[in-house]
Amino acid sequence: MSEQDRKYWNPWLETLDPDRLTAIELKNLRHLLQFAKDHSVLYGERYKDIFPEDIKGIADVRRLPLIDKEILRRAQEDKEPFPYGELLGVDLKAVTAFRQTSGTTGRPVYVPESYESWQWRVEVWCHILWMAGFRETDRVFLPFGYNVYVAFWEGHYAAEKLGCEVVPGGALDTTGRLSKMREVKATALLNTPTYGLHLAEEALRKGIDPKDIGIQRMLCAGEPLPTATRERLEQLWGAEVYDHIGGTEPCAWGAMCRERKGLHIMEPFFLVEILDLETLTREVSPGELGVAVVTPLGRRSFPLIRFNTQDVVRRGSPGCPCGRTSQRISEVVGRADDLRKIRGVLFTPVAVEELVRKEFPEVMEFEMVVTREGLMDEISLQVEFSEVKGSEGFNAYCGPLREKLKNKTNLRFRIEQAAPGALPRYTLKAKRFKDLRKDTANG
Amino acid sequence: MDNKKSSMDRTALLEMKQIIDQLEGLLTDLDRLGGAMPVIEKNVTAMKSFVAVLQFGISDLVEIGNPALPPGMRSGGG
Repeated sequence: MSEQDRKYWNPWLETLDPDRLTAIELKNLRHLLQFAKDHSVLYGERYKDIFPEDIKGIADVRRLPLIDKEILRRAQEDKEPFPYGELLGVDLKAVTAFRQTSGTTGRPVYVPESYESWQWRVEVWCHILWMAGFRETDRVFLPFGYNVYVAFWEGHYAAEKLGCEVVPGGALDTTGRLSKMREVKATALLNTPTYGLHLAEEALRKGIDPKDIGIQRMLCAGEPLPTATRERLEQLWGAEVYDHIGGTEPCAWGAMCRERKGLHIMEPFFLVEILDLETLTREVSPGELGVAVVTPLGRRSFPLIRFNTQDVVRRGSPGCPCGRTSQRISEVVGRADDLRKIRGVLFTPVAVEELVRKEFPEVMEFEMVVTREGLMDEISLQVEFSEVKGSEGFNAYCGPLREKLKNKTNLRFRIEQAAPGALPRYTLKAKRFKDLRKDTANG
Repeated sequence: MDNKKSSMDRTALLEMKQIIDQLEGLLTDLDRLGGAMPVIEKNVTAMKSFVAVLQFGISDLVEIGNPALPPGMRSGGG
């Protein structure tokens, strides 16, 4: 097989005519619907009046009600069999791995994986890694203890399956990880964007240029990756940096190819709808923002049909120079549950990260806090530099920062300086935005 | 040229689907012969998971392109 053909993990699937991709997705949706009705208590009740033969075309998919995290929680809490409740699609004896969501927004959702369902997830990740240029010659370093969270387990198993050499770096501190990466001459990294920045920061503090470590590619997981943060990582590491989008419940459903311009939807593994933010009933057009509603089509242990991911994305235009024919998203804007109204203005924390990383590289770490003082919302941005700035220097720095924040978000920020090292450093799911208002729903 | 390649691909995909079907059948036979012996049962379960992945990535392509096969025939899938 030529190198050109080897740019695809599955060339037949990845370059398939879009109509045939849709046909495969609809076929597998009908199959999943019948399976879920037969094997999961939740779906048996929820879809008792809907049948696979009702789904004739993509428009019929909208007849299936949406499912969200709260419904998943209710289907598990105090329900048998413990701990998966009415979601479980296979015999409990067939479950071979326990995963869970982070519980950031409430009680965690417990996700059962049978060996078969797990291999399906791993296969999706093989596509993602291959698309990002991971090959048999890579020595992949994972600087995390994976715990009960899914992303790095998937990355580990998929990297192994496609023939990479996997080096788990969980039980080490940051210094130990840097040392191990240099010792084994790692060529690829899987990490969160925040930790990628932190590793580089620590390397520089020790007098090591991260570019000299030899990392050629990095796949980020666990957090949004605005373009400015990705470019900063690329510049720090001298590596190609790739993004993907997904979650514990639906798996990773979109990822970057080597063009690194937006994400490909992982068709036909997933049926992905991008629906209007207001009513969640209309597919948006290219260029428009929408919420991603995702159906993973090959998992039986945890059937998920029309899951509202809360991910706000911009639909991309079809066609990509890489030759893949799947639908695309041009931008991941943030999460619908992170969108806040502050002084009547719709605000997403990703906008601030994008600006700070792109135009204020001296800022090592930052944190946003919203409070309500009387009837007025206040938003402050704490910024941390490698060395404390005197009041004159800080005020001079703040002027342009405040002005650009105002232009970008339409909000006036109070800017404060944090002492070097004072703001928390995160490894998983950075929490740089805190809304301390009691009544955020009316914010 | 493209048509010729496409035809070659189609033939290869059809053959691959047939082999994937045979593998599934062979594994079912092996499982039956092994009874509840863990060495057979557990390894067959693992191998059937990989067959299901191939059904998703390869067999589906053939089924969608072949109207002779009724829809929803695929037995595997994650």
